[in-house]
Amino acid sequence: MNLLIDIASAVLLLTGGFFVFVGGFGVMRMPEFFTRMHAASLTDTGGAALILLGLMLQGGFTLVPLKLAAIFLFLFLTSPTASYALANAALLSGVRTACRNETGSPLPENQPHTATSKPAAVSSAKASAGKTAAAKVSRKAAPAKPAKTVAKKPVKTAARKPAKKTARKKS
Amino acid sequence: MEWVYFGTSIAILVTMVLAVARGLIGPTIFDRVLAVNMFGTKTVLFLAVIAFLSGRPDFLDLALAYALINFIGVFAVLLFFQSRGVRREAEAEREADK
Repeated sequence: MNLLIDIASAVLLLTGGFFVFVGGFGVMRMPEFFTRMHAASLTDTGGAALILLGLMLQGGFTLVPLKLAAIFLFLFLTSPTASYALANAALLSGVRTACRNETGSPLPENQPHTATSKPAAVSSAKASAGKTAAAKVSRKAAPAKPAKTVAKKPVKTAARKPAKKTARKKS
Repeated sequence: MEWVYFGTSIAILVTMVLAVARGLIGPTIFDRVLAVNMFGTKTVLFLAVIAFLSGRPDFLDLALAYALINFIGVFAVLLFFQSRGVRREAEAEREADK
């Protein structure tokens, strides 16, 4: 029985170590940010779960497996949250994927969900006389269409663009 | 069992080194935050394995505390950078309105 538990936990630990190593290798080798996040999440789920389960088997009937279970639970609550916050922050600040689909054309650009209100605000400001009031109103009406075209935007955004680009470069 | 713990801790250590390297060369700030987050998670795992390798279960408390600190730290950094982006956009808008 003891031998069985030892073998099981050794298999779990070594598989977990392999997962962790593969994830670290992926973080080093992947081409751009979102693919690197994918590799990092591999270590957070597969690696952490297997290693902690393997250690739990070795704990016996003490407080040790309980502590390991607490760490396990905490990691599994926090790591998806942190990943979501990281991806959201990256998307909001203009990091875009360089991935291509099978035909070789770039993937359609994803619009972060808070940015959808901005083009609507601009277009309705163009239509109405009171600029700021219209922008405020249309920002409240959030579920608007995503950005239509760059060419349609008024001069106001053209003046704003270079400032935005430098901001992206710095961050 | 010793060699299993040893091998696992070596794998985790190698991954930590790779994460630090990514944090140093990472082109964007988010790569660095990702590397720091990963390094923290691996530290938790490493402490748990070390607790068994050295036979001192009190290391597990340290691991739990470190997991908490890591989570809070990543969120603090992310909130800082997110609000910085929003602030810059607002400033640019104000400039354009002038």
